[in-house]
Amino acid sequence: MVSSESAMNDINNNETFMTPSTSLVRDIVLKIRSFKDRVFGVEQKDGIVRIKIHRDVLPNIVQMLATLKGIYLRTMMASDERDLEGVYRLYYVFGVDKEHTNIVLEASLPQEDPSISTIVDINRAVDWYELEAHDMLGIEFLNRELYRLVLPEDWPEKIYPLRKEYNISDLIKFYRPKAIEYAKEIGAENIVTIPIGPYHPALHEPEFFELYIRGEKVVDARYVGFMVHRGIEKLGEGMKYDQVPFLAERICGICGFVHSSSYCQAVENALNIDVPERALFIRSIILEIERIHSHLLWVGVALHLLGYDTGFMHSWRIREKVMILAELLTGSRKTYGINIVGGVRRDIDSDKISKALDVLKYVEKEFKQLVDISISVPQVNARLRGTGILPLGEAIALSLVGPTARGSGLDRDVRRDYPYAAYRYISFKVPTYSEGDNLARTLVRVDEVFESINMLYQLLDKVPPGSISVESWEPEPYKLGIGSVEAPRGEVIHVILTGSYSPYRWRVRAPTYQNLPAIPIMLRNADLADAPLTIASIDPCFSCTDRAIVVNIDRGSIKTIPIEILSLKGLKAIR
Amino acid sequence: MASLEILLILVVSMILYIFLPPLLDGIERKIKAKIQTRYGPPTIFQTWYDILKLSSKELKIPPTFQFSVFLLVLAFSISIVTIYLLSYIIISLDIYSIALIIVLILSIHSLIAFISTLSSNPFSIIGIFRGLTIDIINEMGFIASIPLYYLSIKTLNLSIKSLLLLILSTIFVFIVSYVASKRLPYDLHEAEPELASGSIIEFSGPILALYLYIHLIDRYTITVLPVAIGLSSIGLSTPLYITMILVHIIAIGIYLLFGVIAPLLGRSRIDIAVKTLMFIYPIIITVWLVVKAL
Repeated sequence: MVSSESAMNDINNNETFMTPSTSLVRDIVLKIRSFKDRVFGVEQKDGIVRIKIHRDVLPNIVQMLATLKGIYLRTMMASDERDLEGVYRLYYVFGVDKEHTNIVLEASLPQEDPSISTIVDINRAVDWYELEAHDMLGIEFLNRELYRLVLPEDWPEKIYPLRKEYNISDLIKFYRPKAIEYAKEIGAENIVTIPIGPYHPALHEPEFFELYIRGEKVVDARYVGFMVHRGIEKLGEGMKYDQVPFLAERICGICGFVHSSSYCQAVENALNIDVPERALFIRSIILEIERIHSHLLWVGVALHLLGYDTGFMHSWRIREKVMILAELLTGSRKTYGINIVGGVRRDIDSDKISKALDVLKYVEKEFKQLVDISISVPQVNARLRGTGILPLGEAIALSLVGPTARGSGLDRDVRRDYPYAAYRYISFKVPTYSEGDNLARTLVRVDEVFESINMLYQLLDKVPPGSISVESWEPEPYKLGIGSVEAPRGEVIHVILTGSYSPYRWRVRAPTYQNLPAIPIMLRNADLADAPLTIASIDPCFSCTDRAIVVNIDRGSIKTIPIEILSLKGLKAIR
Repeated sequence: MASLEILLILVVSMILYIFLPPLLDGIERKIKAKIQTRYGPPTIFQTWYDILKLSSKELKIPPTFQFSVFLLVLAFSISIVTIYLLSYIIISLDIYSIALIIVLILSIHSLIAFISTLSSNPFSIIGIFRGLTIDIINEMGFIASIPLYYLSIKTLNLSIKSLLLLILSTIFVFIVSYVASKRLPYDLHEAEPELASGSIIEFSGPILALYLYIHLIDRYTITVLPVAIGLSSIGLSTPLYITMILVHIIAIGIYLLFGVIAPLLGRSRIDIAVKTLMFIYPIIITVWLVVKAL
């Protein structure tokens, strides 16, 4: 292992300075370089400007970035690179939307002292990233309160799951939920634990909001999340490159394709893989189909929360046609499994294109009718308008993404700002509304459905001939890649540091992670009755991993049963 | 003979009141499903099956809820007295019977509300206070609408003014009936998702079955009441049993019409609901009084 001191010296000695081409980014880099010996190198490649800095100057640089408009924190990745350079490294990814560029600030922390000043007082969006890096890698962030965010309360001290010395089997040995002890404590012979206690009042997912109310008004709200941690990033580090897309697609049960696309793009970006245009078109087509069915699902749920179940049923009736279309094009209604690094696995032909056009015409007509009727229902309109307000300033401060940001007038869309797949070949509008209320977020999604249909017409018309994947590609270790996709809920961003056979470090950031801190702001002074819709208005997507655990005290065994088996077989599944 | 006919009418009418409400709910569920392009319950008897199934479940009573059973039984008894009186006013209508029916219906509402306040569950408390808020306003409307409606029928002649008064009071009385039926958009006491069942969250098994049955009878009786008053006041020359059948047929039609309206609406919010009712009721009363004074 390389010592951290010599590693830091190596970094200093290998300074490389490049001047980025775009004006704002160039200005930023020049300002950062004014920190002179605290800046070790600047590299630019494919829309990514990597700036290696000393940890001491991070707050100053972030402070400088905070004074500039149109720059936001997209994600932060903490990585254990002790095997490579004897350091832990933090990658802060800032997006410069107008110039389609990511600025990556890389701060190395010596392994003997993995600490750095917090920047949460400068950039509120970094809060959870710092806590997660502390939980998973043991990074100390100075001058702030650190508490468990991702790991359970009874997780053993000093065991940091994303450190390279631990593999999955080690972690399983270190920690098992204390179900047996708890069962004995309550004197249960054979208990079934289903984590529905902390539940979403609307979407039935493992999360918990504590609403403090006075009369019918919400005075304040507290969010408790991270009930279930699936360790997907760690799992991915033990898989081959082409196995990971299938895992990535299972991150979300509604918009999984955005994750496999984002992962593939990150690897392709890191290794300079030139994906055939036909594959890019197919990816865009499936991504837009996914957006339509996700938004139709959301519109249905929102109407249900407003008591307008007729709208809910009709929205899902229309959605069903889109699901059948997805099955026609990919072979599956959901979890399509067609993404691979370097392209896709399944082609589409002219017959499928023609059928797809028929479905789109049907959906366009039916959805327009549904929206016209639903929005004119007096109770629906009255309860959407002026409720769950999120001011633009808060949206900027929290680096919000997707329809949540666009509903507050923050014009941000990865498809336009960081073009990927086939979006550069088509024209489209990005709907934004400035009101910041539940109606604005609803209308953004409604407009996006029509915009997606319009995009699909263009994409299906322009699918170029050719192959659907590269013939071969070779992994090259320790290359940084970023892949981002505009998911129905907002941008998904995957950052990857390549390894020889598997990703060395794979960082996944879903839009809900970025948008959730906005919910307490929206809920303050809202009516209690509007709380479920306000929570649902960011279209939250938590991990859908509910399992039943059967604890047998006599045998000392724990057996997990998938919830769907439990629902099918009932008590027989437990016996 | 006349006594036997009256007795038969009373018995048949009461059987209808007892049997019809869950059946009508089953039909309403089927209609709702049709509007929403889904299958709905397998049969129109589904609500009856639900009530029977719930009744056969184990009786579980939360600690602060022991008296709820007695109060529910009392509410059920009052429901039976109400349907007896409703059957009776077809035979002999008088203002005292109408007043008594109104008092009995309000008593049932109060008892049900009181049962929910016995729970320490915050969802139940919030839900029932929403229900009470709507009830207070609507019951003022209820008390005002019935005399206006009764007066309009009693003074009915072929003049435009008289017809206008009848139309206004009929609209008023059926709005009140609709709101009192606790259908969308006024099902605030139990159906809000953040309250997870609201005022009925602590009800289960036989208690829930009894509550559901009382609620459905109440829904039907408040639909029948204006119809029965109307047909009895007009003084149809048809035999009594025909009048009784007509009352039920018209009431069933209105009940199902309400069932068609409900799925076309969303759920209101307590402040919006209060504002809406506080706006509509005084306007109707004022217009009625102005027309009457002209």
